[in-house]
Amino acid sequence: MPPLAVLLLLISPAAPRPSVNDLSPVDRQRDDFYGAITGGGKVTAAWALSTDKATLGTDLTLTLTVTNAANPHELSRPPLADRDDFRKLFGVIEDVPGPAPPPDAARVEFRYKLRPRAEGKYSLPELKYLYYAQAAPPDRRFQTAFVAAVPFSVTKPPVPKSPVVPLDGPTQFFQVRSAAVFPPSGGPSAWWWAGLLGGAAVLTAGWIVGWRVWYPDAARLARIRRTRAVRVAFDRLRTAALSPDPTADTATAFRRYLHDRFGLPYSATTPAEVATGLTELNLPPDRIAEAEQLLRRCDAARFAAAGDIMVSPDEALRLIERWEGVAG
Amino acid sequence: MTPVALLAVLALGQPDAAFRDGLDLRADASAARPKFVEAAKGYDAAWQAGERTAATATNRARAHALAGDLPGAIAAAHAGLRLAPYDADLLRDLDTLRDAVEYPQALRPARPGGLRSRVSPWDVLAFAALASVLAGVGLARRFTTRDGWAVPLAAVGGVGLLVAAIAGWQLAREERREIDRPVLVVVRDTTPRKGNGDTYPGLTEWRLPRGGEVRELHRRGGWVQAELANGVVGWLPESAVIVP
Repeated sequence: MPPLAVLLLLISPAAPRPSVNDLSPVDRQRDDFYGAITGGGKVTAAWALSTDKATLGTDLTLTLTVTNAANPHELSRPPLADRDDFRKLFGVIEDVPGPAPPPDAARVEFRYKLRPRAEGKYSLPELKYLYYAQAAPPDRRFQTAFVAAVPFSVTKPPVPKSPVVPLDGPTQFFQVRSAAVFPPSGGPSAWWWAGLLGGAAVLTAGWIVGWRVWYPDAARLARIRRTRAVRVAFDRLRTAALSPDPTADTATAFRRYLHDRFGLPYSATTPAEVATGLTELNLPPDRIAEAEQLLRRCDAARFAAAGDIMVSPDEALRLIERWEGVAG
Repeated sequence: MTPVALLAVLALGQPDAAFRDGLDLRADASAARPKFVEAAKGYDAAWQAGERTAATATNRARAHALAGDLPGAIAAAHAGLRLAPYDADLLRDLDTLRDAVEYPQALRPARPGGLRSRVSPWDVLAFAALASVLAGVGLARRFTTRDGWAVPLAAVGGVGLLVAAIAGWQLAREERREIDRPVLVVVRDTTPRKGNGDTYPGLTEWRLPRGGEVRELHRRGGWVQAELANGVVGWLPESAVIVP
């Protein structure tokens, strides 16, 4: 710059600062005009959020910065709380007062406290910021500075950790029960019952049949013993061997056998009476003779001198066995 | 394990493993509970797929209880007892679970009684097998060697078989009674009503508590006529009860 020009600049009086009071009331009340005037150049405005990742329930700080206004001390704060787009996003919109800017401040900041309504991803709404350009032609003096949208997200607040509490319950519930192999669950099926009863019957029958196959004589003997008379006679004759008078007991047991087995009258006691009775019962003569002979020998043994004649109970046993078809 | 049960268990993971994980995390209820929920689902699937044993029922009931599902636990215990009514673990668990139900007076069901809760069909089978042996040996000896003790032994066996038959008949009778009047478990506090509709007045001043048990008599129009433990008969909505 030439020295003369510098001198003129230094000695010339300072130009007065523009003021909104210089504007007409109609101009002052234009929508989206907050009093910013510029002598030259452009006024700019920008949003700044304290964070672009907010947590639900906490507050955000929004700063609107206006630069290059010639009357920074006269700028008014845009009323965000009156705007629907902001109220839709934020449940709380409060102005945060700050110090008044000096008249020569290069920039002015307006702060707001915002509390998001819900979690999600959002964009801070654009703001249309009108300013008055003194140097512009009269019909274009109101110009617009758009405040660009700012994306931000709101997340759920972290769940506060609850105090660690042990799981309570009856002691037995804290055990895993192992499956038992037996008994299986549910009851035995009908096959079990059929198998048990059928098996028992088959085994019993098999035992009997097998025994008879292996012991044929014993089987016949058993058949004889089914006749009560034979069984009783056998028992008596066996005990007669141990009695003090085996001969008398043998005779008694044999007569009892004849009574029970063939229906001999009880009145027939002597050998002759027995022979007569058996004859009347149509027994074979040889059997009658054998019976009579046995009884006579018993009588003889009872009334003979001691030790001369002996009749063993086994003789009667063998005779009965032969008659019943067991032996001989 | 049937193939279907195996697939179900594979799909839902091993419920035993989840149960054990829950036991390991027992010190922290909030961490342990999800494991027991997982175990309960696994046991449910295995049960539905046919893996029905007293052990599965016991673990199923315990998993539901530790997961916080009291009605589910009681229902699982009943399902197991329907299968093995004599099982001591299940009977004890059911008793313990009932302690947690806030029953009004005289509404707590009595402990399961009858022969079924004392004797298993397998016990009867074993007794019948012993009696069959006695009867068989007695009869065999009676018709072979004719020992003097054969007939008394066969008689003892015969009496034993008779006792086993009577016990079996009684078990079947008690089982039939259970089938005819199955247990239902109440899943939420409910007022029994005098008829099958919300417009009918309540039967009682109190409400049937969650986890309470009733016996089903009839069903009509989305309602269940049920007998309470004190013998009172009322109607409950079907949505308020579950069938074990």
